[in-house]
Amino acid sequence: MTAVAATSFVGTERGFLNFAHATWVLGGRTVRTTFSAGRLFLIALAPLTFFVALQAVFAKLMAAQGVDYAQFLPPAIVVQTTMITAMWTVMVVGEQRMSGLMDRLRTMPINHGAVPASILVAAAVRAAVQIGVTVAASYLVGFRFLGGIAEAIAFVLLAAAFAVALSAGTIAVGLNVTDHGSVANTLFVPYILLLMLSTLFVPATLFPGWLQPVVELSPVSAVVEALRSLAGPEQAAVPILFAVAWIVVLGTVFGTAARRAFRRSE
Amino acid sequence: MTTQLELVRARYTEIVVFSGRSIRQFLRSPSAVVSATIFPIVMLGMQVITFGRLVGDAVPGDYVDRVAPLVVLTTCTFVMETAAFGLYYDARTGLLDRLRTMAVSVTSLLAGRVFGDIARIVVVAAIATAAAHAIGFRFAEGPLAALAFFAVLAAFGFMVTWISLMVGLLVSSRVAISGLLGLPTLLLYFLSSGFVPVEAFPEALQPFVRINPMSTTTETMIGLSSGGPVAGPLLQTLAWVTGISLLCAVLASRKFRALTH
Repeated sequence: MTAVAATSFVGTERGFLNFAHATWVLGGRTVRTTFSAGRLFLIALAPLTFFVALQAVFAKLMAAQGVDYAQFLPPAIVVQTTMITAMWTVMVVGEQRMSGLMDRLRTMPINHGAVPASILVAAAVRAAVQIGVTVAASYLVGFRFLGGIAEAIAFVLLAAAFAVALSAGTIAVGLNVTDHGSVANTLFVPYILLLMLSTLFVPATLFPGWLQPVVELSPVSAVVEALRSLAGPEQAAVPILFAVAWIVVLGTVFGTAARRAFRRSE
Repeated sequence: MTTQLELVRARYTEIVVFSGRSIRQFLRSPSAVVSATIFPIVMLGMQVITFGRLVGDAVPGDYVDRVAPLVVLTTCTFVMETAAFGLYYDARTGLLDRLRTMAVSVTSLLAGRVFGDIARIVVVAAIATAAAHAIGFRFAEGPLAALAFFAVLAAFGFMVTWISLMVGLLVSSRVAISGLLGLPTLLLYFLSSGFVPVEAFPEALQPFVRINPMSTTTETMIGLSSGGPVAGPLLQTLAWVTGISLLCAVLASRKFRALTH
């Protein structure tokens, strides 16, 4: 009975249940193959490196400005790692395309949407690991979730959602480019611009006046301010809603772009 | 029968050819060229914009004068991955074996990579310096000091190139290259006095920041461009460059000889 069902070409492609099942299987495969022990070590090490380095460099200077960097910085590192996860996602897409895996998967009677979705699953897992490591490490230097458990969970979920939204965008990029070797280079400049022109590392008031609006409206700033609010003593609705709005917008736009790119390349 | 002079001439030609090859490989990829020139400029702009007030208010003088030499120095570190990859692929794709069958000294390949990479570094650094000039960085100590500025940079590049070549020869997988080179370089970059002055670091880290080769090189370059102590940092820099280059050259040559004999 099961053998017959497995070889049947009817009913394995359409529908949400098929999508979910195929995503689960493929996502598990992607996670297993990209997270060997050595890689996990590097994945955990990267945010720690940034954290230690930035904390060492700017803690004193920020204290002079009246900011407790131990509370200010960890959400920034969390957001930064979501951006790096998105860039890593491009590599995974490139790998799967170049090795022919994506084409082979497309010839199979499985739900096709599961192919890019499985990469998103891997991105979410990677983001979760890095968020966890960053939060654990920052507890050692004095960072605290000053709200409750619910706020801490919301913190992790918001960050992971941002990682997934960004990764959808980079998946769209990865499915459209032809030269995978240079994609990392191409993405680096927007990454640096988004990273620096935000309130990740310094408050908006320290930017030149003409840039402050840009900095304040940036999605990166929105997410980090929401995270800081969630980790702070009081949760303000405005930053959190602003961040959620950005994530929904980006997720929708990027998700559509990714879907279209995937369909077009079939 | 080849005379000593003919051997030297042959070696010289080989090294020139291999250097040219190394440079041409780089120029063949437009994205690599564009990113090598644009990255330092973007980094410089972003650092000045984002951290200019935070650090600038706490330090005398223009932040550009402190940060520009450091960014110019990072052009060396951006080269590291491609330099390591280049040699890694040469070793893995049989180029070394093919060269052994030819009347060519295989060590010229190594020398060629070193010179090619230094040439790349100096050119990109010059472009980055020009960009820094556009936002206020000036050579206030005269043309001789400016030349010395680039000489120190080339020396640092020499050390960095040998590190990359050693890593390219010794690792077993491509991913290991990025991991081995990327994170330590990042740490050294942040924990250097080019970013912020030594006093801004926690006391426990200040000794480390002081002896960091990126710090000593940056301090030398700041001294040569804006004024300040030169001799002290220069000696420390030369000590680092000599020590590390020697160590990496020995290890790389040993591995190279093992691969080619």
